[in-house]
Amino acid sequence: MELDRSSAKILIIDDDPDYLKLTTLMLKEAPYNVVTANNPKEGKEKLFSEKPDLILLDIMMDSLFDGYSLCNDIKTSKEYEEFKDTPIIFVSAVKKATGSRFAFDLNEQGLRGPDDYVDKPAQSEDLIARINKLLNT
Amino acid sequence: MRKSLAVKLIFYIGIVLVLTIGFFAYINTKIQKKYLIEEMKQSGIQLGQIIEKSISYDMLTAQNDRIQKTLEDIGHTESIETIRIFDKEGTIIGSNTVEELGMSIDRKAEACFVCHSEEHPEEELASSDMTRIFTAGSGRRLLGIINPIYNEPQCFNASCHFHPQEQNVLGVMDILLPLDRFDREMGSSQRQIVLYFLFTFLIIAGGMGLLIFMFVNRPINRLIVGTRKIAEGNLNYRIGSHHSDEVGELGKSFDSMTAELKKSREEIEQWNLKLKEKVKKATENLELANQKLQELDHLKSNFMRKMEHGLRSHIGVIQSCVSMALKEGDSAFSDVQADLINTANRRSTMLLEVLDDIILLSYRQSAGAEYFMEHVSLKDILHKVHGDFKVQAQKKNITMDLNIPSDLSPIQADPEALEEAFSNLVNNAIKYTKNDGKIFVSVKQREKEIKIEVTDTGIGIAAEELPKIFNEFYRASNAKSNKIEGTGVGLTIVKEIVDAHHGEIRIQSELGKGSTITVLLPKST
Repeated sequence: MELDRSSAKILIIDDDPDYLKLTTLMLKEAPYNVVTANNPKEGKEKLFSEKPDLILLDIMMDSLFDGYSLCNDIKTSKEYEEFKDTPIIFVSAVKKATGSRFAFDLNEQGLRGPDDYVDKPAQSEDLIARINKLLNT
Repeated sequence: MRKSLAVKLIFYIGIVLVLTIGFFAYINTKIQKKYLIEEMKQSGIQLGQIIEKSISYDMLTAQNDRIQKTLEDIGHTESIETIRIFDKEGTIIGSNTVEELGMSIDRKAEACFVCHSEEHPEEELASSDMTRIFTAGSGRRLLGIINPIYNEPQCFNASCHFHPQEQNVLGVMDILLPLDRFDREMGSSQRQIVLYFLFTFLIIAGGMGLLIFMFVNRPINRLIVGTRKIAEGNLNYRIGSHHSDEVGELGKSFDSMTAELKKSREEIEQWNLKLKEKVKKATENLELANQKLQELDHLKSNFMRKMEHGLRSHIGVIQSCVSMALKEGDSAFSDVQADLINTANRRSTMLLEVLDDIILLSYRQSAGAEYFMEHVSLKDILHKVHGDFKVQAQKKNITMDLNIPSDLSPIQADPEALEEAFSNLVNNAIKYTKNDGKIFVSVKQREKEIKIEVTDTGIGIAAEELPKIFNEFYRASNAKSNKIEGTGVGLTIVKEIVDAHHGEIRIQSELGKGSTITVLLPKST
């Protein structure tokens, strides 16, 4: 069953305001309902207040890979239990093959991974295709 | 089996002793016997002469009765067996046995033959000829003495004129002496000699044996025990020889050799210990260096991430902004502005690509490049790559076909690296193929390997450029002349990955017609 795109709410958590602006433009065109957060803390607040249908999460914000722990928390911790089924897409300017090796790193640290990941900058077609796919399943 | 040296020595010395002592004993007995016989013969001759003298008066006075009486008396003593007087004709004229009187014997008899071998008998006899030893019928040995009775002046001057002067020998007196006692004594003497010989032999052999045991056997056995102990590794063992002979000397040099050996071994052990310490230290240093290297590697990869993040996030935003600006208002820009923005879009996209390729290559070529091998399905990987590039191919109206056998066995590989490699190959194929072209990806299963071919109908590569195509940053001249943008590291990365999988990569191409890249990957065993 196809979801009404405009009713789907997407939370973007990223420390780069320009990127937030760009992605918002891309997704609004889709169109989606977009909420942004500029850091993990704000992201957490928006998560509870806005209850998004999907999260685009930047991996590197204040520190390297702080996106990892936030993702893991949302997927596993009791605090975020109501959001454990909310799909998460990792967004990173670090390509997976450059050594960050998401799946491997996460597995090694015993962390739960995201539902998908995209490179930064994402091409709007690619990003929207991935979002749609996750929202429809 | 080892034969004891002492046993051998005693055996051979025994043989030599038996031969020498036996020989000397034999010779000694012979000589002794010979002298005794000679002595007996002499006394026999003297006895004959004495008897002759004692009866000479009776002979002169021809008192035969008295002679006979004397002979009978003498003849009954133990030391005389028989005493006879023969006249010239061989007739017994006097004997200690009366019954023999008047009997005669043949001159040819052995006892007579000494003198009567010729017509004119010998008259002067050597003492050896006067005696004979023979065995009587009873088996007893007898010594016979022939004593010629010469015609002396008193005989032929006597008033009876019985003996003419011309006659030289008047008759013979034959005395037979028994050799029983002599033989008995000789026998017991020989037995004694044999006993002495045996005794001497035993003493010498025993003494030799004892000496050999003491001076040869025992020290040599100790040497043997010593060598065994040392061979077993007990270098503290000492033979402790105090003999001053060669064997003792050998034992002493053996001991000093062992001491030297012990010293050398201790030195070696010390060296070993030192070496171990050094190796340990070196290993520690190496570990430290390795740790530092790992730290450096970690720092480096973190640095790379930060650098990539830093560069990409900015360029990415620029590129996205420009491409969106283009999309937003194609008509809002003047031609010049649109061209400028288009150029900015193209170049920023290019810049991202260059950055990606350089970072990828530097990672793949670094020592820290890790491959996470697992059983992977090549089919899944190729389908994913196919899906990823579908849109890109469609944009150029390129048909992309995939032919994978359904029973493809899994291979041992790093799925992300393989995806990277095939993405590169497909990306290249699309990039260098003009609109409405064709790309064909086929997989064939062989006995030991899997063959993947990526074929395109692109611009191809000149034959002379093919060998250089895997070199990093190398770009074919027609790629540049066709203004197809690229960094020239794609194939280098693919080759790195294929090599890491113990595979093989080949390229076939015809200028203007297209290229086929073949990758051979070993099946997992």
